[in-house]
Amino acid sequence: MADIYPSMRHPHLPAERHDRLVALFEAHHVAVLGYLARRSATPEQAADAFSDVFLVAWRRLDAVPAAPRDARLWLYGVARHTLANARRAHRRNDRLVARLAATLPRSAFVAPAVEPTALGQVRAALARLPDDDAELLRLVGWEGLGPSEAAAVLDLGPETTRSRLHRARARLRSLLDPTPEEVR
Amino acid sequence: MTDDLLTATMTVADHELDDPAVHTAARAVIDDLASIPRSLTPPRRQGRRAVAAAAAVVALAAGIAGYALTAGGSSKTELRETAVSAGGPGQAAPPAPADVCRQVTAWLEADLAAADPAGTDQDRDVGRARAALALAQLEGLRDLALDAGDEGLARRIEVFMATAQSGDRLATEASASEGFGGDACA
Repeated sequence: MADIYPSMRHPHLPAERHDRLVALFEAHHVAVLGYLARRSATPEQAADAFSDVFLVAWRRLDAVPAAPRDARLWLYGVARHTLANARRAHRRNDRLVARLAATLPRSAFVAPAVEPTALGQVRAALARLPDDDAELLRLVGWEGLGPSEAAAVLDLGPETTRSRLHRARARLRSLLDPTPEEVR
Repeated sequence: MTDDLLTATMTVADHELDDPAVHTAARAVIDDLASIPRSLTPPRRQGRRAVAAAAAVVALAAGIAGYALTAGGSSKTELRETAVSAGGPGQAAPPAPADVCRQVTAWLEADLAAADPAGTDQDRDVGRARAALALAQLEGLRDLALDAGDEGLARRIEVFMATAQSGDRLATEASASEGFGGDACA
């Protein structure tokens, strides 16, 4: 791999680890940014979380699975925890993070003033589901993961995830199209 | 049907972020992360302890601030005023690494582990007050470094603070030694 960022080589970072980190970044940074952007209120929050996710990845590089698909699921799992902690964290006053935030399409983070009724209803219904169920549905619907892959992100068993996904879909459907009893 | 509706609620698709400007900016963040010595990053597994310790410090700091400020330390504001004075009007002087090192030492002496089981409640409160003071001073040093444009030093201070708040004494000592020059306080 051509090293177009020689400054990234640091005496504290052996070449092998450096190359692994770069490979991880090149393979997954778009997916990780996408995951974070879809769940963040602002570009700043997404950019800050992105920095935190790869900080964890760098520190725990030996724990990152070798297979690309597994590595992506591992990063999604870290991203999920990072966002969960974001409310408690201090936002870094970091020029580089701010610069990344400035490149993200701001329109993607702002809900349109008027949106199709059906989409608004889906968002409202998702918000009424338990957090883990909503995240499971998002992983399937937004990241395109299968149940076993979503299970890896959520640190659940595959069978548990399948049954939870089935229930979550049913619950979402009922929220979107309530029976007369549920309306009452 | 349900999955289709869910997909339609996506605010941004991955391919929309596959942009040269985003790539360059994101790469710069990774470049910056790689410049931090690994031992200076807070262990993830200690996150819960760090949050709990920091929350305790903040809660106690609010109640014992009066003691902390009379215990021989400078407040954040005083630190800033001193630095501005040293650098001339409107000029913040960056903290010297030796100042940071001394503050690190103060932190270690205060130590959140002041909650010594054998100590009295008063001992614990004093220890925590000192820790709160050290935290405030470190924040002041971080802000001064930012004002002075030394983002590298500011980031090292932040990382150190996170490590210290984790309550891991060994990691904190390693952080202080590697990041701030060990015995170079003089």
